[in-house]
Amino acid sequence: MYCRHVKLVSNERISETYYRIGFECREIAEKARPGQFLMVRVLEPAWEHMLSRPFSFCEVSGDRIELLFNVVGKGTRSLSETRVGSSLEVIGPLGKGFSSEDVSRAILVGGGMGIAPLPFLASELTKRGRAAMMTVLLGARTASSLCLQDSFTDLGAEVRVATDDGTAGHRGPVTDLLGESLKGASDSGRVVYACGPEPMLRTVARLTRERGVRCELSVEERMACGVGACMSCACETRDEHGGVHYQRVCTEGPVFNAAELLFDED
Amino acid sequence: MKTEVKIGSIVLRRPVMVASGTFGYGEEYLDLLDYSEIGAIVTKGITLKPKEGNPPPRVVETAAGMLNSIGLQNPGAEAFVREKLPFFREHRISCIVNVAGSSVEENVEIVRILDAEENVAGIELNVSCPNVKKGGMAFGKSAELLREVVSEVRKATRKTLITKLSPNVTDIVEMARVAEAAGSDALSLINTFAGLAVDIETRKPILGGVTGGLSGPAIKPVALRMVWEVCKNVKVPVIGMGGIATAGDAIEFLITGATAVAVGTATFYHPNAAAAISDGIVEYMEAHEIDDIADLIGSLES
Repeated sequence: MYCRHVKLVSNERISETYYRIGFECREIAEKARPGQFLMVRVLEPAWEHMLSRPFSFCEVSGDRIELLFNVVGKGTRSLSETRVGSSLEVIGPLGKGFSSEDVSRAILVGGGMGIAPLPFLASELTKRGRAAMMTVLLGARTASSLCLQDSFTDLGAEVRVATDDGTAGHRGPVTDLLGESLKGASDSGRVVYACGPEPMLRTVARLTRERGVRCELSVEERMACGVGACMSCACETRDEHGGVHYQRVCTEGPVFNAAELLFDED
Repeated sequence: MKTEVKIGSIVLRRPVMVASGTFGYGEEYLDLLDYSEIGAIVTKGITLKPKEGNPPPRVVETAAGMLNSIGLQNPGAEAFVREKLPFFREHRISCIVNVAGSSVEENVEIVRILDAEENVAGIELNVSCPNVKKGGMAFGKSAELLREVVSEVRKATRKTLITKLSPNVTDIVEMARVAEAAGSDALSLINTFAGLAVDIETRKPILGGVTGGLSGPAIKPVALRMVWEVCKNVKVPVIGMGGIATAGDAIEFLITGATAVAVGTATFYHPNAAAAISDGIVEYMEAHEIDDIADLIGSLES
Protein backbone atom coordinates (compact mmCIF):
# COMPACT_ATOMS: atom_id res chain seq x y z
CA MET A 1 0.00 0.00 0.00
CA TYR A 2 1.31 3.42 -0.95
CA CYS A 3 0.31 7.00 -0.16
CA ARG A 4 1.32 9.21 -3.09
CA HIS A 5 0.68 12.62 -4.57
CA VAL A 6 -0.22 12.29 -8.23
CA LYS A 7 -0.88 14.83 -10.99
CA LEU A 8 -4.22 14.66 -12.72
CA VAL A 9 -3.62 13.88 -16.43
CA SER A 10 -7.22 13.79 -17.58
CA ASN A 11 -10.64 14.75 -16.27
CA GLU A 12 -13.52 14.01 -18.61
CA ARG A 13 -17.24 14.40 -18.08
CA ILE A 14 -18.77 11.38 -19.77
CA SER A 15 -22.45 11.81 -18.95
CA GLU A 16 -24.65 14.10 -16.88
CA THR A 17 -22.95 13.36 -13.56
CA TYR A 18 -20.33 10.74 -14.47
CA TYR A 19 -16.68 11.68 -14.66
CA ARG A 20 -13.58 9.76 -15.61
CA ILE A 21 -10.21 10.91 -14.28
CA GLY A 22 -6.74 9.61 -15.05
CA PHE A 23 -3.27 9.88 -13.50
CA GLU A 24 -0.01 7.97 -13.43
CA CYS A 25 1.51 6.10 -10.52
CA ARG A 26 3.76 3.16 -11.32
CA GLU A 27 3.96 1.66 -7.81
CA ILE A 28 0.20 1.51 -7.35
CA ALA A 29 -0.53 0.46 -10.96
CA GLU A 30 1.89 -2.47 -10.69
CA LYS A 31 0.21 -3.84 -7.57
CA ALA A 32 -3.44 -3.09 -8.40
CA ARG A 33 -5.83 -6.01 -8.90
CA PRO A 34 -9.35 -5.79 -10.37
CA GLY A 35 -11.93 -5.04 -7.68
CA GLN A 36 -9.45 -3.28 -5.41
CA PHE A 37 -9.79 0.44 -4.69
CA LEU A 38 -8.00 3.68 -3.91
CA MET A 39 -8.69 6.38 -1.34
CA VAL A 40 -8.54 9.75 -3.15
CA ARG A 41 -8.33 13.23 -1.66
CA VAL A 42 -8.35 16.64 -3.27
CA LEU A 43 -5.41 18.48 -1.75
CA GLU A 44 -6.85 21.97 -1.45
CA PRO A 45 -8.11 22.11 2.13
CA ALA A 46 -11.87 22.48 2.39
CA TRP A 47 -13.74 22.54 5.64
CA GLU A 48 -16.76 20.75 4.23
CA HIS A 49 -14.87 17.71 2.96
CA MET A 50 -11.60 16.65 4.52
CA LEU A 51 -11.84 12.90 4.24
CA SER A 52 -10.64 10.83 1.29
CA ARG A 53 -13.20 9.03 -0.88
CA PRO A 54 -12.96 5.39 -2.02
CA PHE A 55 -13.01 4.56 -5.75
CA SER A 56 -12.51 1.24 -7.54
CA PHE A 57 -9.79 0.95 -10.16
CA CYS A 58 -11.72 1.34 -13.42
CA GLU A 59 -8.85 0.75 -15.83
CA VAL A 60 -5.16 0.19 -15.20
CA SER A 61 -2.77 0.10 -18.13
CA GLY A 62 0.99 0.48 -17.72
CA ASP A 63 1.50 3.30 -15.18
CA ARG A 64 -1.85 4.82 -15.98
CA ILE A 65 -4.80 4.54 -13.62
CA GLU A 66 -8.36 5.59 -14.49
CA LEU A 67 -11.22 6.07 -12.06
CA LEU A 68 -14.89 6.51 -12.83
CA PHE A 69 -17.22 8.28 -10.43
CA ASN A 70 -20.64 9.81 -10.05
CA VAL A 71 -21.06 13.23 -8.48
CA VAL A 72 -23.20 12.46 -5.44
CA GLY A 73 -22.04 15.00 -2.87
CA LYS A 74 -19.49 17.62 -1.92
CA GLY A 75 -16.45 15.35 -2.11
CA THR A 76 -17.16 13.99 -5.58
CA ARG A 77 -18.21 17.44 -6.82
CA SER A 78 -14.89 18.86 -5.71
CA LEU A 79 -13.05 15.99 -7.41
CA SER A 80 -15.01 16.59 -10.64
CA GLU A 81 -13.89 20.25 -10.57
CA THR A 82 -10.20 19.39 -10.13
CA ARG A 83 -8.19 20.57 -13.09
CA VAL A 84 -5.70 18.62 -15.15
CA GLY A 85 -2.26 19.31 -13.66
CA SER A 86 -3.54 19.60 -10.08
CA SER A 87 -2.36 17.16 -7.43
CA LEU A 88 -4.40 14.53 -5.65
CA GLU A 89 -3.41 12.32 -2.74
CA VAL A 90 -4.08 8.64 -3.36
CA ILE A 91 -3.69 5.65 -1.04
CA GLY A 92 -3.73 2.15 -2.45
CA PRO A 93 -4.13 -0.42 -3.71
CA LEU A 94 -6.60 -1.36 -0.97
CA GLY A 95 -8.93 -4.23 -0.17
CA LYS A 96 -9.57 -7.63 -1.61
CA GLY A 97 -10.41 -7.78 -5.32
CA PHE A 98 -12.15 -10.25 -7.64
CA SER A 99 -10.68 -13.71 -8.11
CA SER A 100 -9.92 -14.64 -11.70
CA GLU A 101 -8.79 -18.25 -11.15
CA ASP A 102 -10.63 -21.23 -12.67
CA VAL A 103 -12.99 -19.19 -14.81
CA SER A 104 -14.24 -20.73 -18.04
CA ARG A 105 -17.16 -18.39 -18.61
CA ALA A 106 -17.64 -14.96 -17.00
CA ILE A 107 -20.74 -12.84 -16.71
CA LEU A 108 -20.07 -9.27 -15.57
CA VAL A 109 -23.05 -7.31 -14.26
CA GLY A 110 -22.85 -3.56 -13.65
CA GLY A 111 -25.73 -1.41 -12.45
CA GLY A 112 -25.31 2.38 -12.73
CA MET A 113 -21.96 3.42 -11.26
CA GLY A 114 -21.40 -0.28 -10.51
CA ILE A 115 -19.78 -0.47 -13.92
CA ALA A 116 -16.68 1.20 -12.39
CA PRO A 117 -14.58 -1.90 -11.49
CA LEU A 118 -15.63 -3.96 -14.52
CA PRO A 119 -13.36 -2.70 -17.36
CA PHE A 120 -10.22 -3.59 -15.34
CA LEU A 121 -11.70 -6.99 -14.51
CA ALA A 122 -12.61 -7.57 -18.17
CA SER A 123 -9.09 -6.82 -19.38
CA GLU A 124 -7.60 -9.07 -16.69
CA LEU A 125 -9.90 -11.93 -17.74
CA THR A 126 -8.97 -11.27 -21.37
CA LYS A 127 -5.27 -11.57 -20.50
CA ARG A 128 -6.12 -14.96 -19.11
CA GLY A 129 -7.79 -15.87 -22.41
CA ARG A 130 -11.41 -15.62 -21.33
CA ALA A 131 -12.61 -12.82 -23.66
CA ALA A 132 -14.56 -15.05 -26.02
CA MET A 133 -16.49 -16.44 -23.10
CA MET A 134 -17.35 -13.14 -21.48
CA THR A 135 -20.77 -11.50 -21.36
CA VAL A 136 -21.22 -8.01 -19.93
CA LEU A 137 -24.64 -6.89 -18.73
CA LEU A 138 -25.02 -3.17 -18.05
CA GLY A 139 -27.96 -1.46 -16.45
CA ALA A 140 -28.72 2.25 -16.29
CA ARG A 141 -31.57 4.63 -15.61
CA THR A 142 -31.63 5.88 -19.21
CA ALA A 143 -29.62 5.60 -22.44
CA SER A 144 -27.56 8.75 -21.82
CA SER A 145 -26.15 7.38 -18.57
CA LEU A 146 -24.77 4.25 -20.22
CA CYS A 147 -21.02 4.45 -20.68
CA LEU A 148 -17.79 2.56 -21.38
CA GLN A 149 -19.43 -0.09 -23.55
CA ASP A 150 -16.48 0.19 -25.95
CA SER A 151 -14.04 -0.94 -23.30
CA PHE A 152 -15.80 -4.33 -23.35
CA THR A 153 -16.66 -4.67 -27.07
CA ASP A 154 -13.04 -3.77 -27.92
CA LEU A 155 -12.02 -6.88 -25.98
CA GLY A 156 -14.46 -8.99 -27.99
CA ALA A 157 -17.00 -9.40 -25.19
CA GLU A 158 -20.73 -9.58 -25.80
CA VAL A 159 -22.45 -6.54 -24.24
CA ARG A 160 -26.16 -6.37 -23.45
CA VAL A 161 -27.85 -3.36 -21.90
CA ALA A 162 -31.00 -2.63 -19.92
CA THR A 163 -32.51 0.74 -19.04
CA ASP A 164 -35.25 1.62 -16.59
CA ASP A 165 -37.07 3.73 -19.23
CA GLY A 166 -36.39 1.48 -22.22
CA THR A 167 -34.39 4.14 -24.14
CA ALA A 168 -31.70 1.54 -24.80
CA GLY A 169 -31.77 -2.26 -24.82
CA HIS A 170 -34.10 -4.18 -22.55
CA ARG A 171 -36.64 -2.14 -20.60
CA GLY A 172 -36.37 -3.17 -16.96
CA PRO A 173 -33.71 -4.17 -14.48
CA VAL A 174 -30.39 -5.56 -15.69
CA THR A 175 -31.02 -8.64 -13.56
CA ASP A 176 -33.70 -9.70 -16.10
CA LEU A 177 -30.82 -10.16 -18.56
CA LEU A 178 -28.85 -12.13 -15.99
CA GLY A 179 -31.82 -14.47 -15.52
CA GLU A 180 -31.74 -15.21 -19.28
CA SER A 181 -27.95 -15.63 -19.36
CA LEU A 182 -28.03 -18.13 -16.54
CA LYS A 183 -30.55 -20.42 -18.27
CA GLY A 184 -29.16 -23.70 -19.48
CA ALA A 185 -25.73 -25.05 -18.68
CA SER A 186 -24.31 -24.61 -15.20
CA ASP A 187 -20.68 -25.68 -15.55
CA SER A 188 -18.44 -25.17 -12.56
CA GLY A 189 -16.19 -22.65 -14.32
CA ARG A 190 -19.00 -20.17 -14.74
CA VAL A 191 -18.63 -17.05 -12.55
CA VAL A 192 -20.86 -14.03 -12.13
CA TYR A 193 -19.18 -10.78 -11.03
CA ALA A 194 -21.44 -7.90 -10.07
CA CYS A 195 -21.32 -4.37 -8.73
CA GLY A 196 -24.22 -1.96 -8.34
CA PRO A 197 -27.00 -0.79 -6.04
CA GLU A 198 -28.09 -3.06 -3.21
CA PRO A 199 -31.44 -4.24 -4.72
CA MET A 200 -29.54 -5.35 -7.82
CA LEU A 201 -26.90 -7.19 -5.79
CA ARG A 202 -29.60 -8.89 -3.77
CA THR A 203 -31.28 -10.20 -6.95
CA VAL A 204 -27.93 -11.28 -8.43
CA ALA A 205 -27.16 -13.15 -5.21
CA ARG A 206 -30.54 -14.88 -5.30
CA LEU A 207 -30.37 -15.86 -9.00
CA THR A 208 -26.86 -17.29 -8.72
CA ARG A 209 -27.69 -19.11 -5.49
CA GLU A 210 -30.76 -20.73 -7.11
CA ARG A 211 -28.65 -21.95 -10.01
CA GLY A 212 -25.60 -22.89 -7.97
CA VAL A 213 -23.35 -20.48 -9.86
CA ARG A 214 -20.22 -18.96 -8.26
CA CYS A 215 -20.77 -15.25 -7.65
CA GLU A 216 -18.61 -12.38 -6.39
CA LEU A 217 -20.13 -9.04 -5.45
CA SER A 218 -18.40 -5.71 -4.94
CA VAL A 219 -20.13 -3.65 -2.26
CA GLU A 220 -19.98 -0.05 -1.13
CA GLU A 221 -20.08 1.58 2.31
CA ARG A 222 -19.11 4.92 3.82
CA MET A 223 -15.44 4.89 4.89
CA ALA A 224 -13.17 7.15 6.89
CA CYS A 225 -9.70 5.56 6.69
CA GLY A 226 -9.91 2.89 3.96
CA VAL A 227 -7.17 0.80 5.59
CA GLY A 228 -9.04 -1.13 8.28
CA ALA A 229 -8.33 1.10 11.27
CA CYS A 230 -11.57 2.98 11.90
CA MET A 231 -14.13 0.14 11.63
CA SER A 232 -16.61 2.46 9.87
CA CYS A 233 -17.37 0.48 6.71
CA ALA A 234 -19.18 -2.41 8.38
CA CYS A 235 -21.03 -4.91 6.23
CA GLU A 236 -23.19 -7.71 7.61
CA THR A 237 -21.91 -11.17 6.67
CA ARG A 238 -22.71 -14.77 7.49
CA ASP A 239 -20.02 -17.37 8.20
CA GLU A 240 -20.17 -21.05 7.26
CA HIS A 241 -21.76 -21.90 10.63
CA GLY A 242 -24.54 -19.37 10.11
CA GLY A 243 -23.03 -16.84 12.55
CA VAL A 244 -23.60 -13.19 11.63
CA HIS A 245 -20.68 -10.77 11.85
CA TYR A 246 -19.73 -7.32 10.66
CA GLN A 247 -16.77 -7.33 8.31
CA ARG A 248 -14.87 -4.33 6.97
CA VAL A 249 -15.67 -3.48 3.35
CA CYS A 250 -12.22 -1.87 3.03
CA THR A 251 -10.21 -4.87 4.22
CA GLU A 252 -12.22 -8.12 4.05
CA GLY A 253 -13.98 -6.62 0.95
CA PRO A 254 -15.00 -4.73 -1.12
CA VAL A 255 -15.44 -7.99 -3.04
CA PHE A 256 -17.27 -10.75 -1.14
CA ASN A 257 -18.61 -14.14 -2.16
CA ALA A 258 -22.34 -13.61 -2.67
CA ALA A 259 -23.10 -16.42 -0.22
CA GLU A 260 -21.34 -14.51 2.59
CA LEU A 261 -23.42 -11.36 2.32
CA LEU A 262 -26.59 -10.64 4.23
CA PHE A 263 -29.08 -8.32 2.61
CA ASP A 264 -31.76 -6.28 4.36
CA GLU A 265 -34.60 -8.62 3.41
CA ASP A 266 -32.76 -11.87 4.21
CA MET B 1 17.36 18.43 22.35
CA LYS B 2 15.08 16.62 24.78
CA THR B 3 11.64 15.66 23.46
CA GLU B 4 11.05 12.87 25.94
CA VAL B 5 8.06 13.05 28.27
CA LYS B 6 6.70 10.76 30.95
CA ILE B 7 3.10 9.65 31.37
CA GLY B 8 2.96 7.63 34.59
CA SER B 9 5.77 5.13 34.09
CA ILE B 10 5.60 5.26 30.29
CA VAL B 11 8.48 7.14 28.68
CA LEU B 12 7.53 8.65 25.33
CA ARG B 13 10.49 9.46 23.06
CA ARG B 14 8.27 12.04 21.37
CA PRO B 15 5.17 13.65 22.94
CA VAL B 16 2.86 12.49 20.14
CA MET B 17 0.60 9.46 20.32
CA VAL B 18 -2.20 8.22 18.08
CA ALA B 19 -5.68 8.30 19.57
CA SER B 20 -7.87 5.30 20.32
CA GLY B 21 -10.23 4.26 17.55
CA THR B 22 -8.29 5.98 14.80
CA PHE B 23 -5.35 3.60 14.47
CA GLY B 24 -6.89 0.14 14.77
CA TYR B 25 -4.49 -2.18 16.58
CA GLY B 26 -1.35 -0.61 15.18
CA GLU B 27 -0.70 -2.79 12.17
CA GLU B 28 -3.01 -1.05 9.69
CA TYR B 29 -0.77 1.95 9.05
CA LEU B 30 2.58 0.15 8.85
CA ASP B 31 3.08 1.06 5.17
CA LEU B 32 2.06 4.68 5.59
CA LEU B 33 3.83 6.13 8.62
CA ASP B 34 7.25 5.98 10.34
CA TYR B 35 6.37 4.51 13.73
CA SER B 36 9.63 5.69 15.30
CA GLU B 37 8.21 9.23 15.20
CA ILE B 38 5.32 8.43 17.54
CA GLY B 39 5.55 7.93 21.29
CA ALA B 40 2.81 5.34 21.69
CA ILE B 41 -0.19 3.79 20.02
CA VAL B 42 -3.50 3.75 21.85
CA THR B 43 -5.57 0.83 20.59
CA LYS B 44 -9.20 0.68 19.57
CA GLY B 45 -11.35 0.08 22.68
CA ILE B 46 -11.43 -3.47 24.02
CA THR B 47 -14.30 -5.25 25.77
CA LEU B 48 -14.14 -8.59 27.59
CA LYS B 49 -16.06 -10.53 24.93
CA PRO B 50 -16.01 -9.85 21.18
CA LYS B 51 -18.38 -7.05 20.21
CA GLU B 52 -20.04 -6.62 16.81
CA GLY B 53 -20.68 -2.89 17.05
CA ASN B 54 -23.45 -0.70 15.63
CA PRO B 55 -25.32 -1.09 12.32
CA PRO B 56 -23.99 0.96 9.38
CA PRO B 57 -23.75 3.68 8.26
CA ARG B 58 -21.19 4.31 10.98
CA VAL B 59 -19.61 7.49 9.76
CA VAL B 60 -20.68 10.77 8.22
CA GLU B 61 -18.56 13.76 7.30
CA THR B 62 -19.57 17.09 8.84
CA ALA B 63 -18.12 20.59 8.64
CA ALA B 64 -14.41 20.32 9.51
CA GLY B 65 -15.05 17.01 11.18
CA MET B 66 -16.94 13.77 11.24
CA LEU B 67 -19.44 11.85 13.32
CA ASN B 68 -18.78 8.20 14.06
CA SER B 69 -20.94 5.54 15.61
CA ILE B 70 -18.81 2.41 15.57
CA GLY B 71 -20.12 1.00 18.85
CA LEU B 72 -16.81 -0.51 19.98
CA GLN B 73 -16.57 -3.35 17.47
CA ASN B 74 -13.58 -5.39 18.72
CA PRO B 75 -12.39 -9.00 19.01
CA GLY B 76 -12.50 -9.12 22.85
CA ALA B 77 -9.68 -9.04 25.40
CA GLU B 78 -8.34 -12.57 24.93
CA ALA B 79 -8.24 -12.43 21.13
CA PHE B 80 -6.60 -9.01 21.41
CA VAL B 81 -3.82 -10.40 23.59
CA ARG B 82 -3.35 -13.45 21.37
CA GLU B 83 -3.66 -11.88 17.91
CA LYS B 84 -2.96 -8.15 18.17
CA LEU B 85 -0.51 -7.63 21.01
CA PRO B 86 2.50 -9.46 19.45
CA PHE B 87 2.68 -6.74 16.78
CA PHE B 88 3.73 -4.17 19.39
CA ARG B 89 6.61 -6.31 20.63
CA GLU B 90 7.81 -7.05 17.11
CA HIS B 91 7.80 -3.37 16.19
CA ARG B 92 9.02 -2.10 19.57
CA ILE B 93 6.29 0.43 20.05
CA SER B 94 4.56 1.28 23.30
CA CYS B 95 1.04 -0.06 23.44
CA ILE B 96 -1.60 1.66 25.53
CA VAL B 97 -4.78 -0.40 25.55
CA ASN B 98 -8.10 1.42 25.58
CA VAL B 99 -10.42 -0.48 27.93
CA ALA B 100 -14.15 -0.03 27.38
CA GLY B 101 -16.09 -2.50 29.53
CA SER B 102 -19.77 -1.88 30.13
CA SER B 103 -19.61 -2.46 33.90
CA VAL B 104 -17.12 -1.96 36.74
CA GLU B 105 -16.64 -5.74 36.97
CA GLU B 106 -16.00 -6.10 33.24
CA ASN B 107 -13.43 -3.30 33.27
CA VAL B 108 -11.66 -4.90 36.24
CA GLU B 109 -11.59 -8.27 34.51
CA ILE B 110 -10.18 -6.86 31.26
CA VAL B 111 -7.53 -4.94 33.18
CA ARG B 112 -6.50 -8.09 35.09
CA ILE B 113 -5.96 -9.88 31.77
CA LEU B 114 -3.90 -6.97 30.42
CA ASP B 115 -1.95 -6.52 33.66
CA ALA B 116 -0.35 -9.94 33.08
CA GLU B 117 0.98 -8.85 29.67
CA GLU B 118 4.49 -7.47 29.55
CA ASN B 119 3.83 -5.74 26.22
CA VAL B 120 1.01 -3.60 27.55
CA ALA B 121 2.60 -0.29 28.57
CA GLY B 122 -0.53 1.20 30.04
CA ILE B 123 -4.30 1.25 30.25
CA GLU B 124 -6.51 4.02 28.96
CA LEU B 125 -9.85 3.64 30.71
CA ASN B 126 -12.62 4.66 28.33
CA VAL B 127 -15.34 6.27 30.41
CA SER B 128 -16.41 8.43 27.52
CA CYS B 129 -17.57 6.40 24.51
CA PRO B 130 -20.82 8.06 23.34
CA ASN B 131 -21.88 5.12 21.13
CA VAL B 132 -22.76 2.28 23.50
CA LYS B 133 -25.92 1.73 25.50
CA LYS B 134 -24.17 0.58 28.68
CA GLY B 135 -20.94 1.82 30.23
CA GLY B 136 -18.87 4.22 28.13
CA MET B 137 -19.95 7.80 28.61
CA ALA B 138 -22.37 6.85 31.42
CA PHE B 139 -19.31 6.35 33.67
CA GLY B 140 -17.79 9.64 32.62
CA LYS B 141 -20.92 11.71 33.22
CA SER B 142 -21.45 10.72 36.84
CA ALA B 143 -18.86 11.64 39.46
CA GLU B 144 -19.90 8.71 41.65
CA LEU B 145 -19.72 6.08 38.91
CA LEU B 146 -16.43 7.54 37.74
CA ARG B 147 -14.92 7.36 41.22
CA GLU B 148 -16.02 3.74 41.58
CA VAL B 149 -14.79 2.48 38.21
CA VAL B 150 -11.42 4.24 38.41
CA SER B 151 -10.71 3.13 41.97
CA GLU B 152 -11.67 -0.51 41.29
CA VAL B 153 -9.57 -0.63 38.10
CA ARG B 154 -6.71 1.02 40.02
CA LYS B 155 -6.68 -1.92 42.43
CA ALA B 156 -6.41 -4.37 39.53
CA THR B 157 -3.22 -3.05 37.94
CA ARG B 158 0.13 -1.44 38.68
CA LYS B 159 0.51 -0.37 35.09
CA THR B 160 0.07 3.25 34.15
CA LEU B 161 -3.62 4.08 34.32
CA ILE B 162 -4.94 6.86 32.13
CA THR B 163 -8.59 7.90 32.33
CA LYS B 164 -10.10 9.25 29.11
CA LEU B 165 -12.69 11.89 29.91
CA SER B 166 -15.86 12.85 28.09
CA PRO B 167 -16.50 16.46 27.08
CA ASN B 168 -20.26 15.82 27.35
CA VAL B 169 -20.38 17.08 30.93
CA THR B 170 -21.22 20.34 32.65
CA ASP B 171 -17.92 20.58 34.50
CA ILE B 172 -14.99 18.60 33.15
CA VAL B 173 -12.73 19.90 35.94
CA GLU B 174 -14.86 18.10 38.51
CA MET B 175 -14.55 14.84 36.55
CA ALA B 176 -10.80 15.33 36.17
CA ARG B 177 -10.39 15.84 39.93
CA VAL B 178 -12.47 12.73 40.67
CA ALA B 179 -10.44 10.61 38.22
CA GLU B 180 -7.19 11.91 39.72
CA ALA B 181 -8.28 11.32 43.31
CA ALA B 182 -9.42 7.78 42.44
CA GLY B 183 -5.93 6.86 41.32
CA SER B 184 -5.45 7.81 37.66
CA ASP B 185 -1.81 8.36 36.74
CA ALA B 186 -2.83 10.61 33.84
CA LEU B 187 -5.87 11.95 32.01
CA SER B 188 -6.73 11.86 28.30
CA LEU B 189 -9.01 14.59 27.08
CA ILE B 190 -11.16 14.87 25.20
CA ASN B 191 -13.23 12.07 23.69
CA THR B 192 -15.85 13.00 21.06
CA PHE B 193 -18.92 15.21 21.46
CA ALA B 194 -22.28 13.48 21.05
CA GLY B 195 -23.84 14.72 17.80
CA LEU B 196 -26.51 14.07 15.18
CA ALA B 197 -26.83 14.34 11.38
CA VAL B 198 -30.09 14.01 9.44
CA ASP B 199 -30.81 12.99 5.83
CA ILE B 200 -33.28 15.67 4.70
CA GLU B 201 -34.70 13.48 1.89
CA THR B 202 -35.60 10.48 4.07
CA ARG B 203 -35.91 12.56 7.29
CA LYS B 204 -33.98 9.84 9.06
CA PRO B 205 -30.76 10.05 11.06
CA ILE B 206 -27.83 9.30 8.75
CA LEU B 207 -26.03 7.08 11.26
CA GLY B 208 -27.27 3.55 11.99
CA GLY B 209 -26.65 4.24 15.67
CA VAL B 210 -28.68 7.51 15.38
CA THR B 211 -26.21 9.72 17.30
CA GLY B 212 -22.44 9.67 16.92
CA GLY B 213 -19.27 11.21 18.28
CA LEU B 214 -18.02 14.43 16.69
CA SER B 215 -14.28 14.67 16.06
CA GLY B 216 -11.91 16.60 13.81
CA PRO B 217 -10.69 20.20 13.57
CA ALA B 218 -14.21 21.49 14.40
CA ILE B 219 -13.77 20.55 18.07
CA LYS B 220 -10.20 21.78 18.62
CA PRO B 221 -10.89 25.12 20.34
CA VAL B 222 -13.27 23.47 22.81
CA ALA B 223 -10.81 20.65 23.49
CA LEU B 224 -8.06 23.18 24.08
CA ARG B 225 -10.19 25.18 26.52
CA MET B 226 -11.01 22.00 28.44
CA VAL B 227 -7.34 20.97 28.58
CA TRP B 228 -6.50 24.45 29.84
CA GLU B 229 -9.11 24.29 32.62
CA VAL B 230 -8.11 20.79 33.68
CA CYS B 231 -4.35 21.44 33.65
CA LYS B 232 -4.83 24.31 36.10
CA ASN B 233 -6.62 22.01 38.51
CA VAL B 234 -4.86 18.64 38.54
CA LYS B 235 -1.29 17.50 39.18
CA VAL B 236 -1.25 14.39 36.97
CA PRO B 237 -0.13 14.74 33.34
CA VAL B 238 -2.76 15.46 30.71
CA ILE B 239 -2.74 14.00 27.20
CA GLY B 240 -4.43 16.57 24.99
CA MET B 241 -6.50 15.56 21.98
CA GLY B 242 -9.40 16.82 19.93
CA GLY B 243 -9.01 18.01 16.35
CA ILE B 244 -5.21 18.13 16.26
CA ALA B 245 -4.21 18.19 12.59
CA THR B 246 -0.96 20.18 12.44
CA ALA B 247 2.18 20.66 14.53
CA GLY B 248 0.87 24.11 15.39
CA ASP B 249 -2.29 22.57 16.84
CA ALA B 250 -0.20 20.16 18.93
CA ILE B 251 2.06 22.96 20.18
CA GLU B 252 -1.01 24.92 21.31
CA PHE B 253 -2.00 21.96 23.50
CA LEU B 254 1.55 21.63 24.90
CA ILE B 255 1.76 25.35 25.71
CA THR B 256 -1.65 25.12 27.36
CA GLY B 257 -0.34 22.41 29.68
CA ALA B 258 -0.73 19.03 28.00
CA THR B 259 2.32 16.82 28.62
CA ALA B 260 1.64 14.94 25.38
CA VAL B 261 -0.89 15.00 22.58
CA ALA B 262 -2.77 12.41 20.56
CA VAL B 263 -3.62 12.67 16.88
CA GLY B 264 -6.93 11.12 15.86
CA THR B 265 -9.19 12.00 12.96
CA ALA B 266 -6.36 13.70 11.04
CA THR B 267 -4.80 10.28 10.45
CA PHE B 268 -7.85 9.28 8.40
CA TYR B 269 -7.25 11.91 5.74
CA HIS B 270 -3.51 12.31 6.23
CA PRO B 271 -2.10 8.91 7.24
CA ASN B 272 1.29 10.38 8.08
CA ALA B 273 -0.21 13.15 10.26
CA ALA B 274 1.14 11.96 13.64
CA ALA B 275 4.70 11.59 12.31
CA ALA B 276 4.54 14.94 10.50
CA ILE B 277 3.28 16.62 13.69
CA SER B 278 6.04 14.98 15.72
CA ASP B 279 8.64 16.31 13.25
CA GLY B 280 6.97 19.70 13.23
CA ILE B 281 7.30 19.98 17.01
CA VAL B 282 11.05 19.31 16.75
CA GLU B 283 11.38 21.94 14.01
CA TYR B 284 9.50 24.45 16.15
CA MET B 285 11.77 23.72 19.12
CA GLU B 286 14.84 24.23 16.94
CA ALA B 287 13.50 27.46 15.48
CA HIS B 288 12.66 28.77 18.96
CA GLU B 289 15.83 27.42 20.59
CA ILE B 290 13.96 25.28 23.07
CA ASP B 291 16.29 22.55 24.35
CA ASP B 292 13.83 20.69 26.55
CA ILE B 293 10.18 20.14 25.77
CA ALA B 294 9.48 20.64 29.49
CA ASP B 295 10.15 24.34 28.89
CA LEU B 296 7.33 24.40 26.36
CA ILE B 297 4.74 22.44 28.33
CA GLY B 298 2.43 24.70 30.32
CA SER B 299 4.24 27.86 29.22
CA LEU B 300 1.04 29.75 28.43
CA GLU B 301 1.39 33.45 29.22
CA SER B 302 -1.72 34.88 30.76
